[in-house]
Amino acid sequence: MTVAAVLLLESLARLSGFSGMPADDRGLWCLVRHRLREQDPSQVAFIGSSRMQLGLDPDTFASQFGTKDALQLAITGSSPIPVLNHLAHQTGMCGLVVCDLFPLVAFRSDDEENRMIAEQHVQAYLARPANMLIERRMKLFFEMNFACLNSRFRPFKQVSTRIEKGEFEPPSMQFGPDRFRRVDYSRVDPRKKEFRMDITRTPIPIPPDRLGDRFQEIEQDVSLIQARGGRVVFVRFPVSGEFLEMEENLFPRTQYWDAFARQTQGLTIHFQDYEKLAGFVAPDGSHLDYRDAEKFSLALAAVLTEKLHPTGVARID
Amino acid sequence: MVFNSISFFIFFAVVLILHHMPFPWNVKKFNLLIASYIFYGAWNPPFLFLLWFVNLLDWFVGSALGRLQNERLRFGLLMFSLIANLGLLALFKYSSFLLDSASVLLAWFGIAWSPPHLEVVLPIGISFYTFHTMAYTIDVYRRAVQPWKSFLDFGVYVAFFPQLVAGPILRVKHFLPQCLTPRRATPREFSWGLMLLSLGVFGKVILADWAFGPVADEVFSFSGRASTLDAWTGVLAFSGQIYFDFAGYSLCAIGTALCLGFVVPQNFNFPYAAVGFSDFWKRWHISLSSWLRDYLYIPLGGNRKGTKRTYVNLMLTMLLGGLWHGASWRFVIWGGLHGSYLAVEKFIQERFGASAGPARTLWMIPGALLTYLLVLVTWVFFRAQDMAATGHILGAMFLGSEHSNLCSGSHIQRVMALSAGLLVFSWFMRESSLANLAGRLRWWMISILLAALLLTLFLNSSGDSRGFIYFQF
Repeated sequence: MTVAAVLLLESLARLSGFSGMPADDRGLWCLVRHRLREQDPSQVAFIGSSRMQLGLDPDTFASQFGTKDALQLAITGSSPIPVLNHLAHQTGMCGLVVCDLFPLVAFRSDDEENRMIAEQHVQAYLARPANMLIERRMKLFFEMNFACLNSRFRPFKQVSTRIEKGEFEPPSMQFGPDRFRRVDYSRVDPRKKEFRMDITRTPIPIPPDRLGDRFQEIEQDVSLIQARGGRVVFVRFPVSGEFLEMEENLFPRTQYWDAFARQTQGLTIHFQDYEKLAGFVAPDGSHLDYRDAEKFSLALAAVLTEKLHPTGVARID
Repeated sequence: MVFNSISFFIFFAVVLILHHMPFPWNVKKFNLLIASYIFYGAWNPPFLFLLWFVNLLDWFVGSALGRLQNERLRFGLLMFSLIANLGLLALFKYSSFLLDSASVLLAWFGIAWSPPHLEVVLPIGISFYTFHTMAYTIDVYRRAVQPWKSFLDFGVYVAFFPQLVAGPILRVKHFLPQCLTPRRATPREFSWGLMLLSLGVFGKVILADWAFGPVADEVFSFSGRASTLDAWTGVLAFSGQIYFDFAGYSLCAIGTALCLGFVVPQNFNFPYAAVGFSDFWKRWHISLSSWLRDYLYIPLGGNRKGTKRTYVNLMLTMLLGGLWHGASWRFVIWGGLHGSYLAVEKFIQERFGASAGPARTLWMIPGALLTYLLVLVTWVFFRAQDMAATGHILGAMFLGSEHSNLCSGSHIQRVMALSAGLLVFSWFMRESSLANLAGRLRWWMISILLAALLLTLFLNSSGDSRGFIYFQF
């Protein structure tokens, strides 16, 4: 009976356009983190939050940038600081760290929850049971081979949509073991965009005159990684429309991003400063569609290739 | 390794195959011992040394206690074992708590002292296996049992994987005699064992982790003061989560052991249908409450040394029982509250006599609801992250609050409906058991139920597994 029900659900999932998709959980993050080659200068790691996860395709970037492996370690909803701190203090990372520095997360004073999410991932890796990675790999096998395990698949909803509209509703997001979130915004209901600015959770910016401590906290990690021969690049991902206005109101670029860029030893790349990166439109205001994400990954890799030597040393312009 | 993992199902399949091969019984026991070490080592291999240390210590102490006639020496050996076992617990589980408490105490006397920050990893299941070995040593000291002759059997008793990390806490007299003869489950036992294992995993994965856990986490991790409705929803959710988490683990342990032909005692008997707190503790974590009764309450004098001393013994037992659950004053308060409820109940019974006949029947349902309500309130101390959070939740529950909208409507409905279902089901099952219920069902009903359980589990197998709550104890 169970096997028959699984086969039925699997057929329905496949007919609806679903395919195997892993859960974006701590275990999967740990699997990707485990691939980090700490002593390899050609290693690239992406950290940050959802803009990085939706906006940067690691494989596309790696092929353009000429590296073997680029790891997507960004965590949706999180602050990049705990992962940067982990790479600086608990690894020998000497490659390239590309950090999505989103002012609404990085320069807010009430970032406890964002930090906690990232810290839980790091802690899950550091305190992992001996069999955790094997267990997650086995789960991954099932997740990738059974579309009915896709967390976005709702059998009753698919059947009712088929009856009402005469067709199934294919998924708007694909997610793979590389942790890149491919979101097809042409399939997303505009009323249900990924990002909604909930007014009760509007971030509280750190006052500009007190940003020094936050800058210093980040800078300590940058110094450690760069002292080992690594490079840290901070990227401001494209945002647009009302979202950009709201961000400019809360975190004026001159007082936050530019102030940070002036004092950091890391390389800073703001999408507005580069022609190749400036033309992207975020359909929901702050995340890229997967088609643009691929183009953005190529463009960012090209900008970084121009800026950095293959050895990771900044080129003198 | 946890029961709700693919690794466990592969591991268990291999263990079952080996257990059903035509090997001599000692070889099978050796297989079980090695399997138990693999099960434990899958979490953190170095802590196997701790398990072996405790195993060896109490084995040799037990053997010596059997040989020695000098009572002073015997008492000294017993103390040595208890200090070593409790010392390990103190070191790994309570060191930070003790240092922090000492710092607060010194501050009261005006002495400023900052304790060193200790990064001690708590070995999983240490509270359970130290209790196993201590029970053995105490029983041998009391001459309630003879020192066991087979070191292999004793090793299996200490490390038997189904119950190693979260119980039920085994007793020497109950388990070790089972090691004397080859154990092999009958087909009926085997299928019932698998059924219990499936039910336990279902309770853990679906009810504890999916239905209740996220709501409890949402409310208890909120740093402000939740609304009254949210607070009650969160507490109800936690009461469901901890029950299905721990009772689920116990069912898995009992089912797994039964598939191997071993009988492990019941650990839960529908506790939320308890009428009164002495009834509650006969139904909740039965193996711990009976352990505390036999090895702490009765040795303290139990109810044999007068009324006042009985109350003191009761309270002391419950305070230490609370502390057993975790290194925090909140657990002590949780135990203390349960001790107070037991004391009040005892006082009422002694003063007014236990009701019987129609009066008892009339009292049953309100009594059960009152018990459940007090249990719920007391869970706040168990679950909240600190005393401030405890105050916030209790304040929101009883004094009201204007903050709101932590829990969505569907979450609230789900928790309320499942909690009501749990209470009603527990009430109708309070004089029965799952085995009785299954005995009344037709084979096809059980088949459909099992198929539905397995399907639900398969569809929810994606993503991280949560650890069992009691692993941290």
